[in-house]
Amino acid sequence: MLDKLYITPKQWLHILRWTLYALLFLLAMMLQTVVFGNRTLLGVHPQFVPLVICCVCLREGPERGGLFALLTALFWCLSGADMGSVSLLLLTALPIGGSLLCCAVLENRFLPSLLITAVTLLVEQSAIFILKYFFDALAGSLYLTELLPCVFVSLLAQPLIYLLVKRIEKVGEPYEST
Amino acid sequence: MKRRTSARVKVILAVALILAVVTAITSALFGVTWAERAVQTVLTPIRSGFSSLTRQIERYYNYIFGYEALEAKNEYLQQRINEIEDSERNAAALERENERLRELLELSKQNEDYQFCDAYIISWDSSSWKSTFTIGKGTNAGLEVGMVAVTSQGQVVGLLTEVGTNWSTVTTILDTSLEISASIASSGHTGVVQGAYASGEEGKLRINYLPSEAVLRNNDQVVTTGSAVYPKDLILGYVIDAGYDESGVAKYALLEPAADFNTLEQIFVITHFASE
Repeated sequence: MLDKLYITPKQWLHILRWTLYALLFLLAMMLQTVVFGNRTLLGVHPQFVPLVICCVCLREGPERGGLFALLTALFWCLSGADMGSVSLLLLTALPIGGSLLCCAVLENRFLPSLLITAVTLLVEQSAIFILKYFFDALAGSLYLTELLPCVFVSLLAQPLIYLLVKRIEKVGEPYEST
Repeated sequence: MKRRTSARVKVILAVALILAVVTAITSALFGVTWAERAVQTVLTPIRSGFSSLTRQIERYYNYIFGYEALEAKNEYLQQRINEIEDSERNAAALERENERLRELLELSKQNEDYQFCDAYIISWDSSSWKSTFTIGKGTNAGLEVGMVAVTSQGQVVGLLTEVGTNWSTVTTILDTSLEISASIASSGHTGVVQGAYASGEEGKLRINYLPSEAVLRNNDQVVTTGSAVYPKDLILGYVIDAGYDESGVAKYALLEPAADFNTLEQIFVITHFASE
């Protein structure tokens, strides 16, 4: 019984790695909702949460990364995100799709990651915008003046998030290679 | 192996789809669910910590760059302007009808009956299409859905739309979903105020359904008409532009909100007032 409770060094490193991913997600969420919720960066409210979910999913693959995407998107949805259900579905499906694409066709490097993250962010924000356009009579011109600059500015943080995720991924790597 | 991998991914996608549908339906049917309450309750202390840390950093930043004294002076002057404008609004209303003098004096006496609950803003909704924020107090401080949130100068900020144990969501008057019955203080013409974001005027308000004979001047003050959930004569904003609406039979006016949402840190929720 006690043998089963014993955690090997490899398992510790796994726990540490996923804890660091979770903390990175929480940090992104706090930056997005608390720090930049009422402040703007270059005139827009940047979206960091989709970037973190996408980067982790791409680095960890469609299975483990996909599960991370599902859980974090669910948490994001339950935290009161605008159109949370749409975000939940798209922030799980799109990173998994991108990860599968990376495995099959593209290499898991920075530029493909940037491209897939940009597509994820654009599709998620566009879906929310379209729903708001039809249900809340949002002006269509805001797509060009608000949404596209928001996606562009948010993507400026992607290199930093990508580097952080890459660093975290290396935790426990020596055990995985053996 | 490939088949198994594919199956796991399919399961994750299926679960995501089911959860999205379930959360959408439960949210539409029941509003805030127990799961959302639980997540918000857990997040509240973290948000509070981040919020106070952000404020602290901001204060240090301002201190270093020597803006603190200037801000204090600006805040004092802004308060003075608000007081003067408030007096002006009362005077305009009193001129229009002598009887109103007694009513307003009665109202100012009634204001003593207002009971406030102060709260700090701990997070804002980060979406560009929604204007809500979360405060760090809820049912534990006696807050209820529908209560009105104002600034220290009595300018309307918004209404409480969701209330948890230690948190509440305030939908601001800038949000297009909120509609508040209001009147032009100088003329008494009534209309409905809502956020003007949908019409491409970010950060502005719009008062609709004003009668075509209404005369609107720049800087006319717009105040609440009062209801069961919020008192009357709370200031909403100032007229900056006007015209006929799409139907051509009613007028509308574009308003500058009285409350400064960019510098908002603390709000006061009116938990009790003497309704007429």
